[in-house]
Amino acid sequence: MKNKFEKEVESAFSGIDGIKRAKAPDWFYTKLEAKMLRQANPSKGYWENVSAWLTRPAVVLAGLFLILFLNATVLYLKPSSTNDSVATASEQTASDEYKQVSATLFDYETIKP
Amino acid sequence: MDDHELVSLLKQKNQQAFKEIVEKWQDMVFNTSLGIVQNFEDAEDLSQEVFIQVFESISSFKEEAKFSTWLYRITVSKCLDYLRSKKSKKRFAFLKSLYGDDNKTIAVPPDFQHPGVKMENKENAARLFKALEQLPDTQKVAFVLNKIEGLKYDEVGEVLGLSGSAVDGLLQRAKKNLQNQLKNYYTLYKE
Repeated sequence: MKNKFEKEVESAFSGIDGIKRAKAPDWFYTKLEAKMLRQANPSKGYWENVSAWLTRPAVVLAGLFLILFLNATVLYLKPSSTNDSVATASEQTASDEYKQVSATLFDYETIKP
Repeated sequence: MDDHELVSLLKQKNQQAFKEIVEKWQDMVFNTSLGIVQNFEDAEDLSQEVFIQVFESISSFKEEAKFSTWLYRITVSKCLDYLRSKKSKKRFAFLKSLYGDDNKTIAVPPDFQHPGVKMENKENAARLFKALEQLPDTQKVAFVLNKIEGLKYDEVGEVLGLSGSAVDGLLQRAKKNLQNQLKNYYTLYKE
């Protein structure tokens, strides 16, 4: 049994007999140049990171909900007197328009002597 | 252009000289890194780091040793630093898993296959590389430089700062340790 193991060990060692040198991956220099450029311009990398973070779906959705929440809060906290005056003002406007329209129609239909 | 001329031009930050140096030595650096870290992506990344350091610190190269020896030294030191940081990360991940912070299953990487190994030797070589991972750093580096890169004992000695006889002793210990690792493996899995 011992001989069998020793044979296995020997064959494992012979596994690297005649091994050839591994070649560097294709475009090695081009990729290296790009890496050096990236390292030389770290500010670009920073802004790329910031824009990538801002466009993440979670950040976009959180921003949207924040805007909706602020809108809802502003509407809810608005003083009621302002609502009344707005309503009154819009009623007045509608009434004025009605009168105006009526007056116009009346004018058109009135046969002038 | 010989190494001395290329180095002189690189000291003036000449891009064409840098390109020539990279193209001349990229396979040597990549093969050494691959033998030590046993991963293609990591070896490529480390090889790039080696050439970046060459470009940045060429002024500190006094040409007392051969350029290739200096390049091997940088490669070996980058690879060993990487393996140390990987080991400490693994230890941290293990501690995290003990405290239940990490529920992820740990993926076992497939056996490393060196692209320069003959087809019929793939399985045996994979077993040997697996055992090589367990060796102490200096023994591992000496073995890779001698058996995978094909350097002579005195050339390995120049890279590691050792005499030829010290390298001989180192390689004998490496071989003994590899034999023990492989025996353990075959006893466990093939009995």
